[in-house]
Amino acid sequence: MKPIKAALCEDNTTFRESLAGFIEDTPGFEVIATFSSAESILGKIVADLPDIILMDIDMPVMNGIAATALIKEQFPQVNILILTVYEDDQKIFDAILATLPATC
Amino acid sequence: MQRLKQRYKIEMLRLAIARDLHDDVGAALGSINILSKTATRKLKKNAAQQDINTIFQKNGQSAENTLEAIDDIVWSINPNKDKLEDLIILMREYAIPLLEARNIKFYFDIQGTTEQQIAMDLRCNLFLIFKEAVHNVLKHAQAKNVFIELLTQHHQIILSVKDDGVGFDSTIATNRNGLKNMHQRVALSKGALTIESSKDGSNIIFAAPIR
Repeated sequence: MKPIKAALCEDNTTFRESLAGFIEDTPGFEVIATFSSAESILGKIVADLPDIILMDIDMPVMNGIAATALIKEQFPQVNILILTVYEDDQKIFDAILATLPATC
Repeated sequence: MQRLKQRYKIEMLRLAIARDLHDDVGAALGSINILSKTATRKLKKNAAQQDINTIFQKNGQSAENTLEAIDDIVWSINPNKDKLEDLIILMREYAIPLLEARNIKFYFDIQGTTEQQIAMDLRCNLFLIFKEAVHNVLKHAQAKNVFIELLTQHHQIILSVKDDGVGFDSTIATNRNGLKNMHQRVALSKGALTIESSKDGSNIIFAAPIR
């Protein structure tokens, strides 16, 4: 079976690298790209589309929720998993909305 | 009105502490958690000693970062350390060992009174801006000398970190993140930041009203 292609978007370098190492070490997964900002991910995933993107919420320029909505609009087939320590209902609700396809 | 203002101030401070806990402590603990899981897995699979060593080193570094971040937070809310002179002690304690380790000569010049109290959020932001400026010198400047000046006058505090290195490029990603952070802290302090950089060195100047 082909491994699941994962990409990561997280602005904290240590956490990003640790998580990438963990996924890389998990059978059945490969990490095809890591990104330190949401705005850098958009133009770069076209060539090799990941199956899943692990997305941080709180990043300095564009946040993960806005990026999720944009990615979903262009590539509805990409799954996005939101990484968060927030228990803030509004942010979680916004994230759920952003991952929904444009037309249900 | 006064009480409302006071409540607003406390609310802002709580937000700042929550942000620092989330950004610095949360990310470092998250890394420790993931790295420990990766190490356990690798041990089970009898992975190469060197692989496992690297993970433990990273883990130790993350634990150190957590301690440092907690130290900063505890210090910034400690009412016994609220004078400018306390801040100067902390700045020296932070910068001197790092600069000495790289054989960079440093000059601390303090002008104006240092006995005045500084609001919690301002001392926290001032210190973190200073830390970032020193970090920049260490990482990018290849400097021989660093001139650190702290001046208080007309209810203003002015911090300048100047070096005689090669200057830095603010478009490089690692600089960008640090600078972005700095600008955020400057805005929170209602201050101003000037960054001068050329091939003869750079100078980061931060000015803010004393509260």
